[in-house]
Amino acid sequence: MHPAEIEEEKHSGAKHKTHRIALLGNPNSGKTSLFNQLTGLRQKVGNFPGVTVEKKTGHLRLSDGRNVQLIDFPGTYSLHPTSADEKVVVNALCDVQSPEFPDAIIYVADITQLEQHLLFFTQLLDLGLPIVLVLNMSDQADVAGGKEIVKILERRFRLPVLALSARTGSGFTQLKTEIELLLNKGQSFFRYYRPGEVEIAAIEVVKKQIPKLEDYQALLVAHHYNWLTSVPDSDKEFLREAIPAIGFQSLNLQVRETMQRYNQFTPWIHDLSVHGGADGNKSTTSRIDRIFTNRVIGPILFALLMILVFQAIFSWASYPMDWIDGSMTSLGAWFQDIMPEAWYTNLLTEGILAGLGGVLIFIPQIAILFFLVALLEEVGYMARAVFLFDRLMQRFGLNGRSVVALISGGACAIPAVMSTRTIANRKERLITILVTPFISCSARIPVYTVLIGFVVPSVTIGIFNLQGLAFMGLYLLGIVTALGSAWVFKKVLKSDEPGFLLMELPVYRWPDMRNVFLTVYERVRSFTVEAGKIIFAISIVIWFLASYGPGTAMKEAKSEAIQLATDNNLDADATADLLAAQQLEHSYAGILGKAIEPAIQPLGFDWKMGIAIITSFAAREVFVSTMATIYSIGSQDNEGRIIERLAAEKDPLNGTPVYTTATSFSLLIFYVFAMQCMSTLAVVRRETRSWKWPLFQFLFMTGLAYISSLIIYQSFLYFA
Amino acid sequence: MRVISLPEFATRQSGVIDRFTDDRLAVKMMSMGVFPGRTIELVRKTSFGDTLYVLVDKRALAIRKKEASCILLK
Repeated sequence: MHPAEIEEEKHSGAKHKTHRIALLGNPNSGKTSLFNQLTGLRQKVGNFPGVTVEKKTGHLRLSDGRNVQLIDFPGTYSLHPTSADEKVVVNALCDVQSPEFPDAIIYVADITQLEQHLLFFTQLLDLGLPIVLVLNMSDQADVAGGKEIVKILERRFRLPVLALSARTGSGFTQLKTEIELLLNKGQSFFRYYRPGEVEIAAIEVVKKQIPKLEDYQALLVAHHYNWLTSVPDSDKEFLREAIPAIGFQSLNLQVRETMQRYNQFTPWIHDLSVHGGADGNKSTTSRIDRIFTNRVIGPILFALLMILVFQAIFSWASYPMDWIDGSMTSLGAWFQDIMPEAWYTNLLTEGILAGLGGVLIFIPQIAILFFLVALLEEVGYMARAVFLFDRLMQRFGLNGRSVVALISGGACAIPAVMSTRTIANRKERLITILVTPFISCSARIPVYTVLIGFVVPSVTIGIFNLQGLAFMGLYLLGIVTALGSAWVFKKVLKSDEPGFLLMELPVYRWPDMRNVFLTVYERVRSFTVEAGKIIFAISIVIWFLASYGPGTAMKEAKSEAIQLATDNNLDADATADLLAAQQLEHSYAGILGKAIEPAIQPLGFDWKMGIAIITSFAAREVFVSTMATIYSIGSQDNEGRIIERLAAEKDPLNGTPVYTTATSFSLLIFYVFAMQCMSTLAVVRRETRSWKWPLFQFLFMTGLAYISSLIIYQSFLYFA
Repeated sequence: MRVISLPEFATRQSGVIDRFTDDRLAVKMMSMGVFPGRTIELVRKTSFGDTLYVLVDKRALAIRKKEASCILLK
């Protein structure tokens, strides 16, 4: 929560308690649009306790001054849940002590889908909480017809019903008035479902053990006590004995209850002619799907869309990224000019500004990717991608939505990892997050270019350039490894969710741009604030390591370099390059590079490469500039020069070249596999809400890199 | 009338749901509006025929062949 909000709550807390209202409804009911209409930018995204289910909360001030906290729960079909998202809802509603337990409920139903959307509603009715039924109307729906339906539903359910358009915002003044009235209301005594004998007996058993439950809450506990967080272990123990003892067959009774609810409302709801324009929508959807989910054309269109997404984050994003990069550089130069030459100037220009630039540089890619992905989600297309690629991705423990992450990973793993948030299945999402960084991102390109340019001759075989083939080989290696390790994770990781697919393919509709922009805003905000602070901190640490050394080592290195430069009559540029090389060697990073040399020697790397591997942690492309600095070609670093310099590098002891083919291939493989990007780790931490997974990912990827490089290098030595 | 399971359908064939052979899947399907008495139409299959596109009361759903085989129709 923002400090300002806490402050606000404290103030108002003295006068009013903050009321909590739950926003509930089926997926695709327009709930998100309604939430965004009500709260706008006054919303915050967190997680439900203990799980990685996204929890959106927003604040609302009523005209009478009361403060309302609105919780947007995940879209739910039933209180007999089958997914982690739905379990969150049952956990919150079965526990009066829960920080999510609401004072009242706003239930959103799509007016054209009442036959489906009322099931969950009738379950909520039985909880006895004050509730308002909101009928969300699409633009085409007949408003006059809507009024008639409102009247009928009000009579049937004996509670307030109102029709509005979550998209245009019409009907919202009435909703706010209704919320005020709702909060003054007490418990409702209207119950929809009539439990049978066994269910009544179970309710009694549960209530004797856990008092103060509503009947239906008690029934839910009888069904789901095994995973409910509010039921203490001792009670679980007791219920495990007592519930089956009375002949309570949970699944069978769930089926019966659900069927009875449908039987109660389907006969009369069917007579309400709410279809009208919606039928038109549905047939339009059928027509579009004939093309988009066609077994041949569908995948081709998907591929085209993905090429567009890739193009956007790979090349369009480079304009704003270059601009950010340039601005940061000139800002740094400007500070260097106006400030005295001192450590704090360096800290500001090379530490803080570079760190800030390292965070900001990702924003264009994140914004563009989420704009496109949110648009595809809004329109209803992404569900079709899941349908088309379900079988293929299932083999690797992935999901159709994972394709977006894997393809975006070709530009940058950071937005790619963030895009997995729409994957509902926890296990599939986690696997996608874990394997996406194997896809070669754009930061690896400079490294590949230099090393391939060095070891692979630029000859043409047929129509293929050998260097190009090597490039493609590295990309393929990344893709194959991503899928292969996904397959391994699928076998190894446990899942608490049943692995089945039953998914609604929502009606195609025009995107609600407010939803799209709020998604982009939230993703950018959460990246900059939550992952950004980690990236910023680590880049300052790396800057410090590369710029400072212990004791007087740096000073000595400096005077030594100057001495050497005057002895050899070097010009100003060459002197500066030599100085930078000497200083890097004697810095903490240099010391670290030398310290890890024994560990990386079996891979064919020396301490200079060790330094480059360490500084690569800021971003992989830093490898090239670090190499340039080490080899004193900093001020004129271009790839050709580095390649020449690498070729000339000799072992000081026996005079053999350092950059052999073996070493170069070993280094290439290392860069394909190793997890060297702290920004990605920071984002994985943000997305999985723990250090466990980024740590695992780091060890797994870097371990694989180490072993592969070892095998490559040693076999080169053996066969050569 | 002969009772058949959904994957045995030809594309564009429809039938009325009679019952389910698995209670766990039945709970999930019913919560999504797939319950006995409703008409279900098999619209198309994916390339390998493993995932089905069905219409239940005009709502489009994607379902795997394996789970669809627990839906019995009359």
